[in-house]
Amino acid sequence: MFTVEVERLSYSYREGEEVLKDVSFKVERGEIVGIVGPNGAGKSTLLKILSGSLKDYGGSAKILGLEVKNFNEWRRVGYAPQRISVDSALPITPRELFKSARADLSQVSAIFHMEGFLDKPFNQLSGGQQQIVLVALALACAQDLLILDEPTVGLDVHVKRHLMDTVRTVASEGTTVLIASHEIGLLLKECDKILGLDKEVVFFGPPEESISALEEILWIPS
Amino acid sequence: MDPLLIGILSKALLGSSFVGVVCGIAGPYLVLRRLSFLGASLSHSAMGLWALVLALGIESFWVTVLGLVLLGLFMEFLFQQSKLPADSVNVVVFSLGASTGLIVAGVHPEGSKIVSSVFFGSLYTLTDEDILILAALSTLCFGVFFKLKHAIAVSLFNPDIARMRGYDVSKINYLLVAVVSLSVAVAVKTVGVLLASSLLILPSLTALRLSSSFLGTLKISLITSIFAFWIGIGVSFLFDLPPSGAVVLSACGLFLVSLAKRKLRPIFKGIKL
Repeated sequence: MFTVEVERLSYSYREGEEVLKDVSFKVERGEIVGIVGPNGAGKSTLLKILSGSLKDYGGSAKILGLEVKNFNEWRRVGYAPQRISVDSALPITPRELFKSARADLSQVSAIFHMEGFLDKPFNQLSGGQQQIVLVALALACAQDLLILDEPTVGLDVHVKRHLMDTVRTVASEGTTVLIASHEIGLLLKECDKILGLDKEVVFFGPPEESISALEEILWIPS
Repeated sequence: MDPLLIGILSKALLGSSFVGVVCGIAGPYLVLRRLSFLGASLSHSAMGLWALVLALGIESFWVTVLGLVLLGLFMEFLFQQSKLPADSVNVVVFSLGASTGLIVAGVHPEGSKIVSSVFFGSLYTLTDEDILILAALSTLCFGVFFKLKHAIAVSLFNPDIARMRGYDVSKINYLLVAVVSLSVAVAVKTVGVLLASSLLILPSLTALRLSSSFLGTLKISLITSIFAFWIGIGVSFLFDLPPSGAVVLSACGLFLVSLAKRKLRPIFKGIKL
């Protein structure tokens, strides 16, 4: 059984303007798939569908064999959205957030050196620290599937390294990982497969075979 | 002091403490959901509903309570399902409630008296039955909010993350708004529209100024709310002032003091909330 199965998936926010068109791919247990594409290619929309945030899609999107619309094992899925708009008045600390989300803080806190800001309000953290909290929360929650949308934005080189090492570790333990990012070099190096997206699938396969297909939609650094 | 006065004062302090618990624990949820005006629109609707019920001669307080809970649930339905801005929905309900109250005041022989009692409450005329109702209600309200504090925190942070962590955000919001509506109905009967709507918001704002955590905010809001009642009732009793106004001004005073947060920090240093 595949962890993620997407078959002829389509989505439009407005009638007649399809953001995703006839998208199909399958991801096995423990695979790391990098999703790349230009702005507006539908990367975040695809991940929103797979995280259950958008349900009025066409075609089929399955997690662990269950259609996303009917999937109810969300506690087995970790998701870090691309942007999060938290009310500036909400005085929630990362420690409270993890406790409220029933997520184990101990391991990820050590990996990302979060001790210094665990008891500060989230809205008073720097952009990079906020990103660390979101990614760490997704990692702590992920059992079968980890979905990361632009996880490296605002992170320094060391934290990016820790993140990718941790992603490798969880994948080796059987968690499937989907990462959407504009950091093509990083994805080509770290992922098992690349999904090139420009509203429809441009390429799906091993990174080493993806370059020529991706060059049609993206600028690939040499 | 006259034993009769001591009895009245004790009941007012006890009853207001229960209302303080309700307002203090429910307020931060409304403020942080950007539904501060919900308390005002529900309390004004309670005024309209209660005046209407009394004018029709039904004389059942619980009919008003049921009406207000149904109205609260309907408003939550509109917040979740319609694309109407929440503040606009609140203004419509607020106006409808206040207008109904005014019409009853105009056409019913005792209308003005009814509306006046609903608007300003009757802190000094609380009966044993009122105290029991307030005790039961504050226990229910505190219990629901305490039980759901983690769900509330994470759903205010991000509803999608809350949903993925197993919380049914929609159902939780319906439940919380129903409890808030119930609380407002009983608060209006005992302490009046003015107090119910103000005390839901002012202690929460004070707490948000002073706390840097969600649980700390709930605790400070609860303590501030009860203190505002006690200070207000004490001042009203000593200087023979209307209790509702004195309590609201006390809550405003505490909020103004919280604005001087930096200067207050040394006082609160070491107090873990």
